[in-house]
This record gives sequence, C-alpha cells and structure tokens, in this order.
Amino acid sequence: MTSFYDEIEIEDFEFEEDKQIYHYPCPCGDRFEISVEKDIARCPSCSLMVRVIYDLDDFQDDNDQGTTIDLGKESIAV
Amino acid sequence: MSQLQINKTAATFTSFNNHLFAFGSNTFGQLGIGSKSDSNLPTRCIFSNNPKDIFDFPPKIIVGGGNHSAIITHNEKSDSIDIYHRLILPEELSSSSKINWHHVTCGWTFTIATTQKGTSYIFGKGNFGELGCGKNVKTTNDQIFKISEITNFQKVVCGLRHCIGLTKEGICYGWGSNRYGQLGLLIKNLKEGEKKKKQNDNYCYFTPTRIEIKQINEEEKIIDVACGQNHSAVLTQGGDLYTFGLNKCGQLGYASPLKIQNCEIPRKVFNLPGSVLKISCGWNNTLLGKKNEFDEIDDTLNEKEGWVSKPIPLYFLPHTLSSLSKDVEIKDFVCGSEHSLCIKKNGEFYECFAWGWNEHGNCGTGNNIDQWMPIRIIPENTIIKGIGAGCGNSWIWTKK
Repeated sequence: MTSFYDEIEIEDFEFEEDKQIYHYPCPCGDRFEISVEKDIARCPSCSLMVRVIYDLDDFQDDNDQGTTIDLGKESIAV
Repeated sequence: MSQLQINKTAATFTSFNNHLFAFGSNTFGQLGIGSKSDSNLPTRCIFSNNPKDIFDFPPKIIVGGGNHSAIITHNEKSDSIDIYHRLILPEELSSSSKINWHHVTCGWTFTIATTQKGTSYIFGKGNFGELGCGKNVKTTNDQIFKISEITNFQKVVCGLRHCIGLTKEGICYGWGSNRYGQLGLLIKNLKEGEKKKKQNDNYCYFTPTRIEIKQINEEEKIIDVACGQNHSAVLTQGGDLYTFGLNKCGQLGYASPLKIQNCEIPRKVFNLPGSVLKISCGWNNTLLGKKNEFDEIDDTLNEKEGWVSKPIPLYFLPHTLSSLSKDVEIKDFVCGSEHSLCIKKNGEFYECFAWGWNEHGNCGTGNNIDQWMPIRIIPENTIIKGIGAGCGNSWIWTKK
C-alpha cells in the first residue's frame, strides 16, 4: 500500500526554471521534486513522497483561453 | 538497541574529549561530522580539517534547517557563530570578536542570527519575505543584511517560510509567508483580479509587522515563541499558550483538523492541566513542557499517515506523554522536523530520549526504524549538557 507524507497544493511548490522542476521541502532537509504535469513528488534522499494537488484554474491563461490538463489521463504506478 | 550497539556508542562517547555528537540526515554535510553520509549513531562533530583540533568551547545553541545547520559556541570572551554549508558567513561578521551572538534559527534556505544586543542578521535566500528586508531582497549573497527597524530582539525563530521575532519587551513581529495564518496577521483581502497576478504577494509580508495577541487574562509579557512548518506558538509569562497557523494535523491543540483547518488569529489553548514552561514546535506538532510533566499536541510520536500504512489517530488536544514517567525532571526538549528529543533527569544523571520518524537514523538508535515510543539513546554515566535538532537530524552535547 502506498501512503503519502502529505498532500501539497502545486502553488506551494517553488519552480526552478533551469531544471524545469517544481520542488517543496522534505522533512529530511532535501526537496520533493516533480516535473510539470506529474502528481507524485518524490525526495531523492529518502522514501517519502507527497501527492500534489492541482487547482485547475492555475492552468488557464489570464485571458482564459488556455488549455486545461486532464490529470485523470495519466495514471502513475507506484 | 542491541547490547553491541550500546557498547559501540559507549566507546564513541568515551574515547574523545569532544563534546558534540550528531546523527541523522546528512546529504550536504549538515551534521558537521566530516562526511556526507547519514549516521544512525551519535558521531563526533569535526570543526576543522585537522582531526586533532579539539572543539573546546561548549555549544550554546545548535539548530538545523534545509540541508544546513548553525551553531553558537560560548567561550569566556565571546559567543561565536558557525554556519555549515550552503551559507558562508561574511568575513566581517565571522571574524569579528566584538559581536556576541545570542540566538540563531535556520529556515529552509536562510539563517537568522541575533546578537546579545538585539540586532538580527539575515543570511541566505527566500522568495516569501523570510529575509524581512523588503520586497526587493530575495537573496543576501555576500552582503550583510540586518533587520534595521528593530534593534532589541530577544530572539528570532522561523518555520519553513515564516519568521517571528520577539523583542526584549515581549512584542512579536512577523514576516514571511502568512499563507495559513502562521504570522497571526490577517490574510489580506484581495479582489478577484488581484488574486491572479502574483500569488506570493497576496499572503507574504516582506518587512516585520507587529502581531497583535489579544490575551484573555490581563496583558502578560510574552516570553517565548516557536514556529513549526506552517504554524506558530506563543508563550506568556503566566504560562498561557497561544497558537495560530495551519491545523492540518491538529498542531494548534484546540480543535480537530476537520473542524478548523487553519487559524490566523492567535488563540489560547485550553485543556492544559497546568501552566506551560517551555514550548517547541516540529513541522506538524507542538511539544509543551510543564513542571514535572510533558505534553504533546497532535500527531503525537509522529503518528501520522505517511510512513505507515495503517490509519493512525491524530491527537489534536494536548495530552501527557505518559511513557516518559512522571515525577522526573525534564531538563530540556526539542522538536526536529518529524522527530523529538528530550533530556530527563534520572537520579544524578541525565538521560536522552528520542522518538518519531527515524528514516535517516535521526533518533540515534543505531537503526533506521521509526520510534513510536521515546527510547533512551545514549549510555548512562554521560553528562548530557544539551540537545539540538533539525530536518531529520539531531545533536547531543556532552561533558566527560
């Protein structure tokens, strides 16, 4: 059974442009990392992972013409 | 802990004169033990490249943040400061013997050190206003930055992305992220259009802002503050406790997370059988010390869904840690990110106990199994002088 350390909203993640990844602090001192569009962020230094919560509004442009990502399409095997 | 491990630990402790030992997460060398490997047994800290260079001065305070740690050492002439990794102290501050350091706190990517006189210096970077030096300062590089508005800080403590400074007069100032109300400042009211622009600006405070704490009893002086990942606790002279911020795990100590998810107004914690003497916050929990007793609010012993596959109840009201038997003197306790340490007096000696998340060996037990009950981690007959904890790591300082 998979269990998560926490559930974190995507807007709480910080974006690192060089690597094109989102990251959030892990209690071990390292960072949970995910690339765009994934919904499970892992820490490279330990076994913990967090589920990423997306607010679909975040994926819309200011002029509301952006596309919405269907998160249901991509299932991630853990 | 097997007898073999205890003997090994004992050997480590008796073969050196040094006073400081570290264990736990060490990806960037933040333990200060001369390597970048985790250690699940207390390992001697090294303070220079020369192994014979014995660290003579007792540590005054040691804390850990995101992959870095800081220590203030005390000698007769001055209190000096060392910060390990990621941060290099500007020479003007590190070499100055004129500065007496009083307190230091490590956030995620920043460190704040306060002098005896009450000036707080900031090192590192922060996008959420953690540096407290205005909207334009997001990294300090090699420059010296200090909080210029307030010069009489007793201490500054920080959570992941927020800071609370307590002045010698007992006034609290907050800066950084207030996303969950962890600064006790009102969440800004924004119009729909504003919300979309730049999210950080909506809830971040970039300069110290006074926190109003409406006390129920007559105005008592605030004597201590502590910050968790996204919550904060304030202690008054009379032993009252006020909490605010995120309550996802019940860490505020007065309501179920199902009822109150977060609270931006400092609220008094009732249901405490006596007055509180000391507080410490982990990332998602709060520890309180009372006379001869010991309380923990919320995800007690890290009994939280995440690294266990069974449902675990959250403790959202304070309850006594009965496993640390009563009628003993708890000398000190400290919360790491998801584990805790305490020093308990047993006869003439002090014993150190640890519990919680232990993936990196941060409970010092010689293994990496999570500790659901406090476990004694170092041999008897060692005089334990103090403890420190950070993100998945711990320090113990001892005297032979």
